[in-house]
Amino acid sequence: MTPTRRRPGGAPRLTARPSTGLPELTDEERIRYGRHLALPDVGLEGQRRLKAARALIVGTGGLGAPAALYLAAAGVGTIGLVDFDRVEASNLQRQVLFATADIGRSKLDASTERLRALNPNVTLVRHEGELDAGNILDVLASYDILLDGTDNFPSRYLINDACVRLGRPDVFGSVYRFEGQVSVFAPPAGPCYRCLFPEPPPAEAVPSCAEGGVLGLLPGVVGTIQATEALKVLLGIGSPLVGRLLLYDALEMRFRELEIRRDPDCSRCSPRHRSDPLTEVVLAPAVGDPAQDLEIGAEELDRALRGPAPPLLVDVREPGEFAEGHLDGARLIPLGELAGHADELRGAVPVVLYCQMGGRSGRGARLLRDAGLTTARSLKGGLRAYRARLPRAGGNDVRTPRGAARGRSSR
Amino acid sequence: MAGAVIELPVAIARSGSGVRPRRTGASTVGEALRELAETEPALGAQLFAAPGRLRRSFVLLVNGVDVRNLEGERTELHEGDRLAVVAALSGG
Ligand SMILES: [Zn+2]
Repeated sequence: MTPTRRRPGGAPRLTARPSTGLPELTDEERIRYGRHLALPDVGLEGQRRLKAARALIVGTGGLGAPAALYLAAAGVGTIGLVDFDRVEASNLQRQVLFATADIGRSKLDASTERLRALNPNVTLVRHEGELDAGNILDVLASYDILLDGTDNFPSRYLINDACVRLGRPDVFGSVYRFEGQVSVFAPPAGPCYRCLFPEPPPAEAVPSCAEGGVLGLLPGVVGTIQATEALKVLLGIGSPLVGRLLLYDALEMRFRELEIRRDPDCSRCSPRHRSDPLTEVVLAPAVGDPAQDLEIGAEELDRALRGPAPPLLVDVREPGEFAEGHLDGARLIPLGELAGHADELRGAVPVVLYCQMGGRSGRGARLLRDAGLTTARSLKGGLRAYRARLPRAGGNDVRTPRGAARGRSSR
Repeated sequence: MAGAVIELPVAIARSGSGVRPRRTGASTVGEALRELAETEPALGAQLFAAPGRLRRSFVLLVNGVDVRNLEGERTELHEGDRLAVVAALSGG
């Protein structure tokens, strides 16, 4: 262990990897990391510690992009990247890993190329696809730490649960509009995500960044704080954000800190539940929702579209999102205008609404059902889930310009 | 009217105007939120999973302290107190 600096308050500490058997630095690395070697809290041993370290970044979007860039620059020896998405024009406002020429490419292709160019000493491991309850433990097992750069609640709960199970620190960051939250979940040193937020909000209450907007550099600030915390944990220095939720308000330019404690009855990190099997979190519908079968899954929709009576697809996102890529044959009716179209849709075959993540289309389907379209449904998990589950779904091109990216990706 | 002030995050209030601070004469956290749910049913659906049962997808703070470290919903509110709701965010 490096000498540690315990703050007077006795902040919780996490143990860094032992200093024996650390890899040596090459001459090139000694020059490259010179400013780290000059830092008393890092130095040669700390830099070797980073070289030995393995960090998993889930999502290479707004949060993952800056985090990946700084961890690669800092010389974290192995960086795993998880993503299944393709670069879209509307990503470039905040996802600084990508260039304009990357539009249409797989995010993993684009990000590994960029990071390799930044620091060829770093080993990059690609995990193409979506993490689920069946694969996350296998993926996470070989890493020391995880950075959560996902953009939805089910993934965040799944990541938390896997990190608790395997005892890996979960460096959490999230953003919305002008606000960000950061913490390091690392029981038993501090609480886990479920200690803080035992339940996700209901599906309709979850605004996505596509819908609600996000200031482009907000995830930049939050993602770099996540990277800072990851480096500190890997180095075993300073006071990590364990037991603290950092709240960032970009509009007021204010950072606030919230003391957060472990919940002794936590449904995940309490001793009773620590070994519970992982399950997917499903966002509950609103209070007293009478609608049954409101959602249709990606596979079922795919079958229906190939069937004899395919449903009418309605894209309830905004025109800009629609222009970036949509399902073949879909009609654009933004959620705000849906009520005015209920009458004409009533005569149509079954209607399936979709949006990016399933939140808006869920609200839309409920609205249509209230207007008497009793078979209106919403694509569960939205276009996001459809792409993840059926990357090559026949007849439905979700990229734009149409087919431009085919053959350029390993997918 | 006596009062504590309730601060709502945009993730729950859903609009810029929705986040305006609200005054409450309620004497406890639970009472303040139940009253709020009655006067603004849209907020009520965000705050309560069922009548009387608060959702667990946000943190309630009184003067910056998590009410779970105080008296929970029975935490008292006094003149000048600030009851803030910190909602879980999922964006990335
Ligand atoms: Zn917990």
